[in-house]
Amino acid sequence: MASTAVATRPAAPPPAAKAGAGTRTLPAVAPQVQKWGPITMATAVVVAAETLLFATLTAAWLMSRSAAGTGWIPKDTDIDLYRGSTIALTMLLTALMSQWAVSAARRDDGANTIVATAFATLLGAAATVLAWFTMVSVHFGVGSSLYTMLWYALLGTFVAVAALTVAAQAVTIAWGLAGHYSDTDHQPMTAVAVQWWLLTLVFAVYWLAIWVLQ
Amino acid sequence: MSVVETRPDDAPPARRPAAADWFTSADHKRVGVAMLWTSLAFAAVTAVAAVALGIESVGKGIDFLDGGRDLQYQTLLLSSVFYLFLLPAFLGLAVYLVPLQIGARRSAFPRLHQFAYWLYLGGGVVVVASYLTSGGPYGAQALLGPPAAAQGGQASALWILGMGAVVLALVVTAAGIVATVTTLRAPGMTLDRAPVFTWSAFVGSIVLALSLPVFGAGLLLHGVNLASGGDLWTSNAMQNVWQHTLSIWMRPEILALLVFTAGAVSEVVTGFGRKRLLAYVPALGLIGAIGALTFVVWASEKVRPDAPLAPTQTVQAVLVFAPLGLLLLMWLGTLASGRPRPSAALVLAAGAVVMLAVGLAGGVSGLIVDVTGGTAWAQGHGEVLYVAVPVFALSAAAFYWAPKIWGRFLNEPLGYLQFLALIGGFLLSTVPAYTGLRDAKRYAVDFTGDELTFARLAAAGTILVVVGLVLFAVNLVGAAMGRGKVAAADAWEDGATLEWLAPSPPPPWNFTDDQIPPIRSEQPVADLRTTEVSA
Repeated sequence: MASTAVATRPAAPPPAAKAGAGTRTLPAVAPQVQKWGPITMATAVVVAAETLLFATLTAAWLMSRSAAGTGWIPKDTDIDLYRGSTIALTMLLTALMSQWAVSAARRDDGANTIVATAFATLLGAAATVLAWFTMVSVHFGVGSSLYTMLWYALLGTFVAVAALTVAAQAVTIAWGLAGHYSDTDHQPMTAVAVQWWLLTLVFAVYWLAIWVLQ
Repeated sequence: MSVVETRPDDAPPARRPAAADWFTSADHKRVGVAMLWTSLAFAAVTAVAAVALGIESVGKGIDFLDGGRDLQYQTLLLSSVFYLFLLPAFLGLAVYLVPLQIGARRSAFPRLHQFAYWLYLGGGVVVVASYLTSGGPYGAQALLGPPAAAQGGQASALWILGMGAVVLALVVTAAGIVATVTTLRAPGMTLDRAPVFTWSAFVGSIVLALSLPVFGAGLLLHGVNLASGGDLWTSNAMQNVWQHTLSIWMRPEILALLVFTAGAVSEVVTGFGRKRLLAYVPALGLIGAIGALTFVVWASEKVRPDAPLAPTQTVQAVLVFAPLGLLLLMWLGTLASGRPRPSAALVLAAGAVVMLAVGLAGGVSGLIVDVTGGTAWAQGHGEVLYVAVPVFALSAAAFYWAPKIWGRFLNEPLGYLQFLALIGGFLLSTVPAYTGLRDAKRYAVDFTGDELTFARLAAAGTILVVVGLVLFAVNLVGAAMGRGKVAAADAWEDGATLEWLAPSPPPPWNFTDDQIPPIRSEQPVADLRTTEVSA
């Protein structure tokens, strides 16, 4: 059975009544308030960790770019703006589809949950493949310059994390088909949606830094 | 309903696990113990590197670490002592204890912890194996100073791969601990009523989850550099990036060891001081403050290792250690107002306090005399605060919780001997860095004149520390093999937190369904002993 999004512990006992002579009065038992389940909490930590990973790589890119001045981009380099923009927009659509899946699961709407999850998986896979194609089709070697090393480091990390997210999203389809989601039971779906939003934000920053500001 | 004491001392002892269980079980206790043993095995690697460097520094024609191999050993020493020994050891202790302390029957992600353990073990073995390949990686020199070029080939690639796996394992473990603390606490256990070690594990895990990915990004960049044969780190901009991603002394995760230390020492002080921690919630706040302030190291401006220590470094040092100093005063106040019971655990915790005081005094001395980042002073100062203090805290924690983990008390006389070896060893090996070796070059192994005398003292100290660690390991192995006095559930008879309700060692699933009392304070088990409350 899938994990639940709400606390499954028994309700806390009522506060202590006045204690008798010779005993120490203890404070009341605090009510149990657990808004988030373990998967959601772990996802929050992992997303924070990924944010730091991508932020470090982006910082390396920006610092190198500002220090290099002219000659930062190798000669004859042609990175198409339309390709970067397409990836960014596809990522945004993926995140929206994934969020639709979460919304449908919350309403206990099985059909919409499956359709939205399938769309998210396909669009996520498309964006990942396009990012991979973009990374390898620039026709410069990894070690030919600082720019190229960072290009492969940034996009390679993005592709790897996006591929893992696509796999996770595919697993959520299987769980959905098995009937695991309900209005109180959609943690894995939410976790993947949060992950897509992070990747969308990351690629938006990439798009600005690599394609727009160059 | 009456809440009365129901100690489960008569519960049947846990079955001794079969060998196969260690490979297949996702019980947080098995995984935690496996992490502890594995970290101790990697401590042996650290010891070998430290002793080799010590022998090399005594002169007398001994020169077996030539041609840059001393830097390889230094790199092996630094990467193993922090990433393979101390951090995993504290995390292993947390994986074992946190669910017990919060009254949970399991961790939030048992299989994830198991996966992380195997990743850590595999990654650690690859890191160590990288030193057996082609004579050892030069590329790992990245931790000691920006390398002029990618060197070391396959060995460095192995080192990067292994360290990457270890970093991922530690992040995953940290995420699991955070999820466990936030979602599986017993009814009534608000965060400000969580045991202090659990709180420190929570804060420390957040620090690790936010700082290790930056180290991981540095490893990734270093890997790309190595694979492409490029010169990534040569520009000034990238040397700044190198400093903030790979420089091992400038990392929040290393300072996070002090967070775990604070939690472990606080538990031992309250346990053996037989007194509630003075100002409990402010103490938790101070531990949280230490965690938050670890990130200030990233504000440091030092780029060249031979540059004078910058004012920002002084500020960050004061910021990080101010809450720790206040906590130290709380520990002393707790002991002064309690009824301390002499024990090896308390003495070892005192060792952590002594080394902390030495480090703080050394830090103050650094404000008075001119010191630079590229000297043995900086290296020794780091060893005092980030190696000696955590090693004492880990030892104290092991003595305190060993009866719970293995159902046997550790040998106390051996514990006192360990304390003497460690305190003597650490003082001998680090005080020279504040005195006779103050101006010596960092990571140097060749000394002459007066410096040679101090270097020999430091080498003798290193060997004493290793003797202390061997005594520690012998003691732990003895307990694990069933030697020593049998421990009851509430082994120290003054246990205040929930782990002391479970049998020693705890069975699978830790507690029975109705065993956890309503939590009304930070010491629910002590409340059971002293209070009868009608509800």
